[in-house]
Amino acid sequence: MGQSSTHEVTQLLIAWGSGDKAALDKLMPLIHQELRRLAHHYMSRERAGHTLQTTALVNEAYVRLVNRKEVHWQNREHFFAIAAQSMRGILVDHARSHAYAKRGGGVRNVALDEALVVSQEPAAEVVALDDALKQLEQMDPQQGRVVELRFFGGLTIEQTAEALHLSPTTIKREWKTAKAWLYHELAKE
Amino acid sequence: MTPEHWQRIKVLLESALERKPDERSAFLNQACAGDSSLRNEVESLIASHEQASRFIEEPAYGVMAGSLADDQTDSLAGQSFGPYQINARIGTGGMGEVYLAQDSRLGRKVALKMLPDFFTRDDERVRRFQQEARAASALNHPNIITIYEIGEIDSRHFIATEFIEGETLLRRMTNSPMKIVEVLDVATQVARALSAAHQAGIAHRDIKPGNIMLRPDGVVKVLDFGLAKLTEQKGDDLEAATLVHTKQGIVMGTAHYMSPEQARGQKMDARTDIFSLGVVIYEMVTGRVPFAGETMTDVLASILMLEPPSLSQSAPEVPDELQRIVHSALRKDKEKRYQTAGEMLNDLKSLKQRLEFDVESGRAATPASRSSPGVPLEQEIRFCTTADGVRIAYATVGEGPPLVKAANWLNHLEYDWQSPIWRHLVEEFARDHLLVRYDERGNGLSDWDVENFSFESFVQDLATVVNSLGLDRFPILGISQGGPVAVAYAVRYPEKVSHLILYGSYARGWAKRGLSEDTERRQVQNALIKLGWGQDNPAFRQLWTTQYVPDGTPEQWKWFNDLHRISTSPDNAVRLEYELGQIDVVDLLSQVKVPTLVLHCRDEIQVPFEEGRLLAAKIPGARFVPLEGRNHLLLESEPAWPRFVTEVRRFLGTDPLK
Repeated sequence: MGQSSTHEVTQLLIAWGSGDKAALDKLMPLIHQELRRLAHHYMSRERAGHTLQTTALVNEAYVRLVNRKEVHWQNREHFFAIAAQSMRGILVDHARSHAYAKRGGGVRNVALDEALVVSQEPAAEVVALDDALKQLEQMDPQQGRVVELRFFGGLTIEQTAEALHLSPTTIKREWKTAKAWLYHELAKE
Repeated sequence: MTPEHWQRIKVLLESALERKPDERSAFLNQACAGDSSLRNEVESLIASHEQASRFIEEPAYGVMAGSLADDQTDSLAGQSFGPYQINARIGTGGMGEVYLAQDSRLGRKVALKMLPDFFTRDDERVRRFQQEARAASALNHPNIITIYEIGEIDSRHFIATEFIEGETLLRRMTNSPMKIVEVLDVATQVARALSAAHQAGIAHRDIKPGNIMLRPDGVVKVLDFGLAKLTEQKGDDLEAATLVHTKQGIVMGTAHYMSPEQARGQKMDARTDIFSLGVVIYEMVTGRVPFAGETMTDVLASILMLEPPSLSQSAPEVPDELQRIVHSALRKDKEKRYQTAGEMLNDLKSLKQRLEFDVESGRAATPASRSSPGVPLEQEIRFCTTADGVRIAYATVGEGPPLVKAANWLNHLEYDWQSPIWRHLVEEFARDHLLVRYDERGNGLSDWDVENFSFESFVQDLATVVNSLGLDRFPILGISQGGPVAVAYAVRYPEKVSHLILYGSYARGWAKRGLSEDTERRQVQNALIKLGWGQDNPAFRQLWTTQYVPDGTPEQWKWFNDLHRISTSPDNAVRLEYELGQIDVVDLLSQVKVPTLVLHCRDEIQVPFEEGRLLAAKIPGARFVPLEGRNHLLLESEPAWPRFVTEVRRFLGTDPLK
């Protein structure tokens, strides 16, 4: 990622932060591309032991893409918000193709480690969650954002609150009821 | 659902969740004002909330890690790695990738765990880890995953372990609430694993639901003994590491199960595992961890400072005794906790037995304790290795002159010695003897993965055990198949055997008795073993059990049903049963030069009375004592039992009345 992209992303972020809606459309693919590259890079064997940390990943993308001297701290939260959406795209795309490839693959579900135990078919469950989340977004856009930032963006309650300009208490409440509804939806299947 | 309807439900749900669980019902009565479908909707969401504590708390990126990594590292699948043929990747975690592979040397399936370079760059850490893993690999216990090999090929460190199919406790807990009986079953098996490991000087240090595997046949296996060493920070680093993690906002996986001393970064010992098991039991019962918090720091603070709400607040039906057990495990001061996993195991076991007994006899609860009277016995379990490389577990209980019990179908040193079927025998003779028992190859705590199940190997197992103990001269008690083994041993080493006691025994296995009806019955049973041994439903094993102890109580039956599953695999059961059928020591009987006492119950069907009579008739000078009864294994409550004790003691010259 060269100097020019860093400059471009920084400028777009500032522009978007000050109300330029069109900037977002240009920003998204740049962030998406970098996150996608990092996500796969992080998974390579050389980096084993560093897995599982979305925030670190997004942070790295941020450091690489944005000149921090120029941007206001709130631009950072904007960046996270875009990154969450982007991560959702990357992960769900991957999950869909993976869940599809796995179907009939003949490999038994065997759990040996906590990471994979989170779900025996993580890909399928991420896809199902994405579908349910789309419904939730129809019913309650704000709650949809909270879930996207928390689950796909890896943001904490506090970071989510900053990104959405809401209080942590509100985020906690929204998160709790959104989880209950999503869990209920997924359990129905 | 329309946005308006959801807003209405959401407000009710939020308000209900802000209230204590026991106040919610009244609140909803009022708030829903007779709208039962609204009320149902809110209630089902409350139920979802109760189960969803872990749901999507780990970000998607972490959940998907393994699948994302496929693109890069699945390259190992289909390749050879030393003697291993790698089939597929079955997992990825902080501790590296796990592959399903075939060991071409032995043709068996293994789980191959590749340790990440990240952890193995530090030589000192690798050395510490290998030391610990080697020690752990010596743990031969049915509730501990078997480590086959620890090594390095092409500068990649790996561990090859037994391949376990099933789900982890973590997964089990997210699926549906667990019943108390199931909780106790899992807890008992984990405590059993810990007790064995601690006795061998090995602490786990990372007991958590993700490290506890539940097999479909009900057997629980604890994973990754000793692996905690690999990720462990040296004392001072822990706090720093914790802070870093907190800053990065990592979802805390393990902090919930840390002991207070672990949370402080202090020295840990086996008692840390007891605390963690307490946390796991708490979570199994209530569906939530006892020490929660928004951030890792909050969780650690809660572990150090807070007392968790009692179990009965979320599970009113929970027995007081379980509350007491969990409380003792979760004491913050490790000196006030259970001091050994064995103590905790005993409490869990007696509660479990009591509840199962209550269930079977249709009682709700019995206040009376069922623990056995008298001085508590301690047994010491050790291992020895036979000439063909099989590890045999043996145990000694009590003090005094030795009495060696030959192994019989089926034993399990840890599980049987305080059981309603064997307890009285162990207690009676351990009072004034050094009672030696061992688990035959293929069952109990001895190696299960055995190639040779010949009669000769059974005799060698006995010889190896008494040699390891350095016993010069001793009486042998042979029950059932232990009899012919004892006979063969006594013929070969007459100088070593002072007395031979044969109860419920035989010289000819079932296939050699020329009883077509019996042979047919055995063949049907063999087919049933294959079908039914591993199943949850005890109906099949009950059939078996009733043949051994037709006059047993439900408690005894239940125990014996469980013994089958716990003590050996269906495969081994089939092979053992077949080999036992082929036993024939009739020609050896006339060569026995040792004083012999033969006892047999007149109406048992497992080994016909005629077989006992044959033993006594052919062994020179043997004394024969017919007993009244139908049980193949003598129960404490039947009149034949005191008669047995009197006869045996008189024969051994250890009659306390004399």
